[in-house]
Amino acid sequence: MNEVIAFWILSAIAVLGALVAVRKRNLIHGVFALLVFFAGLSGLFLLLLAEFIAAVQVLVYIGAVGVLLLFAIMLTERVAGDDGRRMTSRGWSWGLVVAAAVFVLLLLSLWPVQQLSMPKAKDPSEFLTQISDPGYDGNSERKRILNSVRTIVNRWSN
Amino acid sequence: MTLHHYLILAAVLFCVGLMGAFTRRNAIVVLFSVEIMLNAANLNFIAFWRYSDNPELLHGPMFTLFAIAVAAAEVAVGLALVIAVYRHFKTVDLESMNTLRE
Repeated sequence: MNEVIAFWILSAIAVLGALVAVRKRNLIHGVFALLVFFAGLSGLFLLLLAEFIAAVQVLVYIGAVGVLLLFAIMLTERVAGDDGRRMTSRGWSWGLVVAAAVFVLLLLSLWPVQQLSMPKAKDPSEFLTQISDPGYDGNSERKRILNSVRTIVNRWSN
Repeated sequence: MTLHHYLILAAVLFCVGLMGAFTRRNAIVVLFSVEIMLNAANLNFIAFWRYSDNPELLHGPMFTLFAIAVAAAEVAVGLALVIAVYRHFKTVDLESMNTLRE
């Protein structure tokens, strides 16, 4: 249950951050919204039990890319912003149409995934209980992983 | 949470990035949008990995780490290009850079 709440909150943060970053006229505010988006995505990575990728996301994106973007804005737009001119490009409505069409295409391509792989899919919470289970035997787990690696290597060498 | 929640979220984020890349005139905002799209792809990689049969093999994080490294290099080069263009044209407005069309 907690996981579901965390997912919805983090995805709302990520989507809102991305929307604000894309639509904001002031570029400095846009960069900060982009950092919020990166932070939300890092939380989603944590939720998917990819801790290392979450840490890398914070270090590389929020740390390095954010500062780099702020410096670039400082060096190009004197005060940051499109100073009252038109914000969108000519024919921007076509851009919206193409983005919406790509979204529909992506949703349609998701349709067959549902029937094929859902029964096999593991829930991340099961993985957590497996690790925190006192009867969990790490040694046999290690052997299982080694065996699967060995199978792959054998398949490749043949 | 099912795999589909993550996949649909990644599709939404990708399309937000696509919309930004298509509709904005400022070159730096287009770079933001490309970053948003790359991060949506990373989310897809991680989600597919976590819901795969054996997540112990860490293939998803390997792809994602590679993509993050390449994306960080791409931002550095892209911003250097934007600054070079700014010094030449005195603007980062993509509609005023139409030398090839004239």
